[in-house]
Amino acid sequence: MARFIILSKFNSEGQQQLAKTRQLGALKAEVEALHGKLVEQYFLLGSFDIFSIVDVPDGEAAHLMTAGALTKRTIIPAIDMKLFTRLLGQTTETTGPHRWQISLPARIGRRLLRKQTFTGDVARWCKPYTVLGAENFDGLKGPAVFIANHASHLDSSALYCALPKRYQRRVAFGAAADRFYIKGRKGIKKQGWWFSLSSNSFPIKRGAGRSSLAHGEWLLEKKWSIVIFPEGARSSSGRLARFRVGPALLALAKDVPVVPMFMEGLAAIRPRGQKAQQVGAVTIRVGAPLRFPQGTDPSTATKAMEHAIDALRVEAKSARPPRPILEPVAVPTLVPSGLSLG
Amino acid sequence: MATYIMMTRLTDEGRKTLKERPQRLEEVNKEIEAMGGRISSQYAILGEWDFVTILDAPSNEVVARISVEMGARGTVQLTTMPAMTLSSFIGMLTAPK
Repeated sequence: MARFIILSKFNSEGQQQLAKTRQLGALKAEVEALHGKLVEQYFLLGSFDIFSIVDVPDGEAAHLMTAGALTKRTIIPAIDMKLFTRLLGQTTETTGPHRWQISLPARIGRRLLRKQTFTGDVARWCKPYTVLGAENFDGLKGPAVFIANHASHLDSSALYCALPKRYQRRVAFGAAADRFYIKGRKGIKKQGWWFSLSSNSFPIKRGAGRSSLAHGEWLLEKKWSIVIFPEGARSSSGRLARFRVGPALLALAKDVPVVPMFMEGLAAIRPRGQKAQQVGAVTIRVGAPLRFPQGTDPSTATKAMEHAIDALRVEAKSARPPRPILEPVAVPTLVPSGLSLG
Repeated sequence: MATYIMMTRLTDEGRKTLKERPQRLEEVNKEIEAMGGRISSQYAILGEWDFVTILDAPSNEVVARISVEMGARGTVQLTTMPAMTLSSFIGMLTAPK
């Protein structure tokens, strides 16, 4: 969900309507139709008539609200003040990548942390956990790029558990540099090197183009596979966001197959922006690997990847059972004393 | 207590201060509370203004004072608008005369 402030001013028709019907509430219905929530609303004296705070799934939904029939609306993205202050104090410098992440000691360390990083969460929260189309992994040999939709922090764990053992041992995750690899954050579990060690992540600078993919190419050369979420961020709308071109560039540069996967149910376990988790059903659909001939245009390959995942999404949608009733459960604190997750 | 919406725009100087000392934001909030206001929510926003604060204060006079005190530092420009909850506004509209 994204928060927006809406400043509305009645047009003359709106004023007439208000005087006549003495009713307001068009916005509330609109926001709810967009699966959003009206947080607060005030009537103002001054340059605007109504001040509203709304939560809607994304910026696109916010765009849909600009056309009010009775009011002229100014829609303003709002940032939580605590987050804003924290961001102000934070550097934009990032760390990594770490080549030692594929060394033997790092692999041993990661194996020891595996339950905490990947399998524990899936065993605890993803019930039942189903993988469909796993036979698509059968013919797969050597490094590959795994791509999937991205809706939750649990996605990488869920995806990891769906991979065959031979890939689990040699897989790295592309992670947003501006989130996981910020320099100088406090607490061990917020350090870039921690993510490199525990989940075998490597930083990808969003929007930096080919330059941020060098480490990914290096990993593929070393026969390691890569997981990337081509949407470039978690999507909270339930739809697929536009795919970034990075995964295609990697696959084309190193001539490796791309395996499309669609994961369903994870957003309900831990929606974006929330800390509380609840047990839920997870279904992962694996599509047939895509192989691109030499010289394929990256944007064509990206389109093909987008289509492949969308086809899995459509398949999932048509097979969806009625939604079970879920009990919310508080998140367990897994942090040893003395460490702070903030 | 009445509710007010305070739209704030940083001046060049305010922007500098904020970059150097981000924690200044919280200190300002404490000062507002010391003058009798109560901040119920606050956001950094994109667009014409930099921040919006929903403020509860006992009277227009208190808000005017906050406005002058804050403005006098030259770090922010404020626009404060009296607000009332939509339900009480509708209640007022539909009340028999």
